[in-house]
Amino acid sequence: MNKQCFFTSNNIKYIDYKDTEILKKFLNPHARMISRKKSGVCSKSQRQLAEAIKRARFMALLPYLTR
Amino acid sequence: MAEEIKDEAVESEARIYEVGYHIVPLVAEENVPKEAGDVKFLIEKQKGVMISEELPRLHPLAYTIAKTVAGKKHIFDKAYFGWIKFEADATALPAIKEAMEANENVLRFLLIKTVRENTLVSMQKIISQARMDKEGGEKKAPGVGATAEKDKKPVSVEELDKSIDELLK
Repeated sequence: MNKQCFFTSNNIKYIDYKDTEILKKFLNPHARMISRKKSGVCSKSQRQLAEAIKRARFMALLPYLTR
Repeated sequence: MAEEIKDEAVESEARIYEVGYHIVPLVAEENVPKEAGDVKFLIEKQKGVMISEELPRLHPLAYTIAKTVAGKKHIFDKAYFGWIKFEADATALPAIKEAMEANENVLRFLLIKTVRENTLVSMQKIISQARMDKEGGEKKAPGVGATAEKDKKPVSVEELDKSIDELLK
């Protein structure tokens, strides 16, 4: 199936770590990041997304893990 | 001429930064704006120029954070989270960082480089636009996805519908 990057298609150029509502969509039930193979995010956005998620985790806006 | 070059060099050093911070919930709610004002003051002291900010609001933490306040260890599961976006010289940052570390009421903070534009994206806006795209077909509202390429439109709608379904779960 042909997937398209969520961020590119919505013209989101900067992924903010405070946007937890969006970031949560790219985490699995264990709070791990979803691979771009599954999410269809382009590599440039995936790098930004990974950094934003890590920042949000540090600021306790997102969990490191959920059981 | 030489002055112009010098001015340009000074301008290029000023960058956009953002400091996000948690204030300990031991601070009474009426004193929180004062704490936010202190953070703002220390940035202005380093000749930082405010761009935008959000006042601290009580926010549940995703995990507990321990901090020793006045010789006593406290474990917090909520804190007042706020942020300030500002323009400052790169050389001013170590002083801002040190002052934030020294502030006992700051539970945790994050100082990052960012962009001047508003970076927060409203999920509601994305959802409403996806609905408009679905209902209106070719009619597209100006906004987040206004500049997306036309040939990629059907695929993006599919992707957005999926994301809405995920949100509604």
